[in-house]
Amino acid sequence: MSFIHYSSREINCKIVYYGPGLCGKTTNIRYIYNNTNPESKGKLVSIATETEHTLFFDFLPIFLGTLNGFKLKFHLYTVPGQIFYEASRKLILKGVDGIVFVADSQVERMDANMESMDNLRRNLTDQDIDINYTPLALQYNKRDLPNIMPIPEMNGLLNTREVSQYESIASKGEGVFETLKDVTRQVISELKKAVQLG
Amino acid sequence: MSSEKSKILESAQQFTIRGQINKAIEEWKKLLTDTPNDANILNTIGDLSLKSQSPGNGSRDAISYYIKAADIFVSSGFALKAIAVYKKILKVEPSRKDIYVRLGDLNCDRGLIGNAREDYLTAAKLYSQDGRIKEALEVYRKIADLDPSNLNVRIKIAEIFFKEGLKEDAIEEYNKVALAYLKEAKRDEAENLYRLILKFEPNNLNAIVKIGRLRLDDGYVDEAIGYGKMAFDLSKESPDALSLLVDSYIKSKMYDDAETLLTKLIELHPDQLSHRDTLATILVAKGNNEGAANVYLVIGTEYFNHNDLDKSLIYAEKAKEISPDLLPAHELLFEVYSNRGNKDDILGKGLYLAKYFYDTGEKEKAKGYYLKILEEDPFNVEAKEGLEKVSGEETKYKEEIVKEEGVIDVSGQIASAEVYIKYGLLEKAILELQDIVKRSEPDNIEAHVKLKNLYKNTGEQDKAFEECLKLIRIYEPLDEPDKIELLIREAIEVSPYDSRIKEYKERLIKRSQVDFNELLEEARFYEQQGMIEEAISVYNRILSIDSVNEEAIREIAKLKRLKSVDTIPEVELVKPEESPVSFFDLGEALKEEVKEKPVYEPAPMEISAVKSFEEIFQEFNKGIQAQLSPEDYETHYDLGIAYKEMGLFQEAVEEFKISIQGTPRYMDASYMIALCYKELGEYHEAVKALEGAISSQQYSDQRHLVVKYELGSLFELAGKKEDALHVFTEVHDTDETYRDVSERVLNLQKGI
Repeated sequence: MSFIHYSSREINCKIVYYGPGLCGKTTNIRYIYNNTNPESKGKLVSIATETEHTLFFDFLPIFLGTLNGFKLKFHLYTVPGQIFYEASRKLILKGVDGIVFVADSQVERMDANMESMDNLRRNLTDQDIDINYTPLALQYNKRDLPNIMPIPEMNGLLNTREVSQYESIASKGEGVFETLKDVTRQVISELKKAVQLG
Repeated sequence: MSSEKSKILESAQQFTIRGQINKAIEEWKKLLTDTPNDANILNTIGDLSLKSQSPGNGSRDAISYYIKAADIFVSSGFALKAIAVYKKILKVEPSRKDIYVRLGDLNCDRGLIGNAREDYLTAAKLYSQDGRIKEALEVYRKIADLDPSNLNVRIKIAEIFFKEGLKEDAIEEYNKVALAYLKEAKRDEAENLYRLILKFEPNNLNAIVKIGRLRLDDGYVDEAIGYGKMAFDLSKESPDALSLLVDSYIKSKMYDDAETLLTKLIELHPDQLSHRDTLATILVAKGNNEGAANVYLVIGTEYFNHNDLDKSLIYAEKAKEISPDLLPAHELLFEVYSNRGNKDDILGKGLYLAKYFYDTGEKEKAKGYYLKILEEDPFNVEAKEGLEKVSGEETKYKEEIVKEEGVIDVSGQIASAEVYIKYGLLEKAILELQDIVKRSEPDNIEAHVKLKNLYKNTGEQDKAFEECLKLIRIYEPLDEPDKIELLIREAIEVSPYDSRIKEYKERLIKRSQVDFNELLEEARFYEQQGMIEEAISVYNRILSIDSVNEEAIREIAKLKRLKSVDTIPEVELVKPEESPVSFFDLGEALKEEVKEKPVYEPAPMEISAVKSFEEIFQEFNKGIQAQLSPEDYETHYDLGIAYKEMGLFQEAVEEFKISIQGTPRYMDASYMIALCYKELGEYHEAVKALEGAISSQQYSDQRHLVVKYELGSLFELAGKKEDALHVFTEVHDTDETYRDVSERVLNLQKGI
């Protein structure tokens, strides 16, 4: 849930990029970092392992202006996708406001996508969060690669809630900001509903 | 309406006007081709048929159409229309009994009982006149069902049954009527009917018993006994016959005979508590109060077991009344009071029983009642004193027994401890258990386990740890490795840095090694069978126990490589410093770096994959330290927020402490530190942090309400009520509507 800091008049919202290992979560965050006005972003914290996997989490604060006199700050996180980082993922999901699920479009990664989606659902349930009522956007990444699964099939496997889904090539930035905008819009809408500001 | 139908209708009307009825009927019949169930058309055809020139056939046809129309009206829910049509039929043919019955049914359905009775009576009379008795009886039954109190009809029905030779049916009907008479207190009429029954069937048991009852009620006891004996001779196990005789004997004070028969009756029908009640009455009459009280007690207990507390209470009181010293009656009363929640009665009766048992030396029972009283009223002084007295004497007694016989059964003490625990008297439970292990059985496992858990509950970790060690020592010669392992883990959890556990810890690891070997064999088996997922799963289980198990790490890496199909390195290591160029240029510059690489490029399995969370975090922190300078206050502040949201409060405090150095965030970071300490339950540290915030130059009027309010809350949590009141009063003086400050001030003022 969004953290409202009355003393500093800031609202911190938490967006988590979720998905299987090497699906492109960090690529998303890096693209956002690289293409955001320096005045509107904090520093990107990202520690990778020797094999290019995210260690613990990536973290990028971005500012989206003000809402009713409060500075609106979005903290973007990625989770480590590998299955054995379960504890880290659970921690990072704490207090989540919105989720971008990044799926790898390659046919051979569908099992991993589904496993990750199931893992997300379970971890949210552990926190008494219903995935069906949480701001969520799906991003089908790596659409430029051969042997990708058609969108309707991917929707059938992953998008049971029928939320907005975006085709992306995160390395080129295609679909990256569209996905972020979508989930941000949902979070702000929820925020307005939930909190009477001012 | 179609033009074709209009034409037919017009034509039919023309024929009717011209008096050509049959032609008109033919036209109407054409309309039935399409709508054969149109009741209105059928009705019209019926009307026209009556007007037709051949009266005989016309009436028959008319009735046929009317009946069809009425039936359709009934099934369509148009009862009134149906009744009207039936009445038309009766005008044409008044002797149609079936139509009267249909009318009666319709009126009955509409609740017009009077009309229905009239219709049925007409039908019944007509059937009787025609000699169709069976049908007449069916109709009479309908009348009787309409108004069960109309006994004349019922008698008539019974008479008809007799006439028809249906004796059993007739007797059944007479019985029904006689019962109805009895309900109306028309005793003579009822008796006459029973006598009538006996005329037709001299051995009718029910009639004999009923007449006997009537005689008995009228005071003719001898006659009643005669009828009773007659009935008893016919059926020696008939409860009605036995009851009649018993009641008759009681009335004539022949108590022994009554008791004998009643005992038989109770044997035959043990669930009939009324018989036991009568038995108690007889016993009282015979002066056997104790016997009667016991019977009342049985009845009371039965009602209690069936949860009929009101009746149970009545009989328990009856028992107590005639036998005031009957203890079970008092016990039953206590149970009834407890179940009904009558507090005063529970306390009164409970103390009575506790004292009674104490005086008679039954200490355990006395103790039980004292505890039950305390459950109802935890502050009951009398019960507390009584309990202490009983417990003290018990200990003394046990000491004597130990001294004399050198052995004692501690199950009673264990049970007492359990009772104490149940009622939250933990200190007493501890004393009881300590007594067992000190005086009776130093190695009593149950006592030690309970003590361990109690110490944990009461926050006495050192003692809990000691109990763990004692239990380990007790289990060692018993060859209970699983229990020992659990206890070692528990001891580590209770007191992780105690050196005494080291030896056990090492043994645990050795033991785990045995398990690892089994698991490793299992994993190898899966691997040999090509069941890679299963093998990885088992290796992961091994790593969950021993995160540095080399074989598991190595094998997982190997298996993952075999299985891996996606190994694209995604990003390069992020440089610790930001690029000085503008963001668009930077994006351009990094374009190549973020380019995706081809699929299927094998990636080595990383060792970090199997590291524990603590190790990962340590590594992550090192990376952060390498990437961020301490002067990067804002990023440290953001990281602090991130950790705080993850519930890593201590780590968050560290980050905020770094960011506090930077003046822009001094105030915010202090505030966040306070919130983290608050989450950690370290209220004094939290207060310190907030006081730091207040003393900062960034502290402004705009922010001070938020900070002061939080400070007040922290003082309250830290138990410093006066400080809290002082701070809340300041907030209140500035803005009395701020959050719930007015309420807090009021509550604190009251409290202080």
